[in-house]
Amino acid sequence: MHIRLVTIPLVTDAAEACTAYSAVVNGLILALRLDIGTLTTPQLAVTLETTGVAVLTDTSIAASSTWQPRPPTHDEATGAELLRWAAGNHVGAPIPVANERIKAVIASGGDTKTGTLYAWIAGH
Amino acid sequence: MTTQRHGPYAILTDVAGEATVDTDDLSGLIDTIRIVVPGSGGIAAARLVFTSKVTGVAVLTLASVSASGIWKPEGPTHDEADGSVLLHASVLAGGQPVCSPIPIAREPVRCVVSGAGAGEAADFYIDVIGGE
Repeated sequence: MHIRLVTIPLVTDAAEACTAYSAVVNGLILALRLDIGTLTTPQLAVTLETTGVAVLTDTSIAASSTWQPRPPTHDEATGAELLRWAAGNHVGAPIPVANERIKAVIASGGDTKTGTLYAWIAGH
Repeated sequence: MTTQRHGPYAILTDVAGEATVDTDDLSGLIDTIRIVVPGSGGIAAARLVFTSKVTGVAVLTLASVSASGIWKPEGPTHDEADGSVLLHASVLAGGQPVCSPIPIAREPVRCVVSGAGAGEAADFYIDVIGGE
């Protein structure tokens, strides 16, 4: 398993927002980390640029944080989400990305503030 | 899938009972951290904090180490919709997080030791699966 670290610099504008992209990547997204820098309790939305797949959404992030986003897996017979217990958390799996960029959108992060989003990708 | 063993990395505390040791650059999934405390002159009741040096990811925190041991640290996984931690059992039951090995790419792991005596020693090894 080859793991690559992708770095996305974040700089907000006067509207306290920014949109930034990685290079084109391929593989499984294993983890994300927001180095909060000077950002102030931002909202973070990470998606894949072309396909629009949701990677992570979080709000009011108070400090540098690490996530290992794992969206639901599904029963192949019914399409129902697989759960760890009745009405409980889903069984998750890493998100694949193929020949597209990771898109990071910051909102409410403060005026002209900086941070860094890291992504660890297994693959090429 | 290959496993690479990195180390030994030598810990030797200063007069304040502290030390900071960086590994070589590591890439892959962190599988195992093994600490070897010698029978004589080894660290006692030491706090060890392992992080990725550049990105600052928490890898392992040990509050009081006096003996050799092996740890397999894993980090929590999260719901992509809201960033909440995924649990094995219900929140009301105090379920444990669903964890996954911690990835690292081309950076050292830093071990910060505190709370030990002066001139105390140990070694540690880190096994990493895969590479870059």
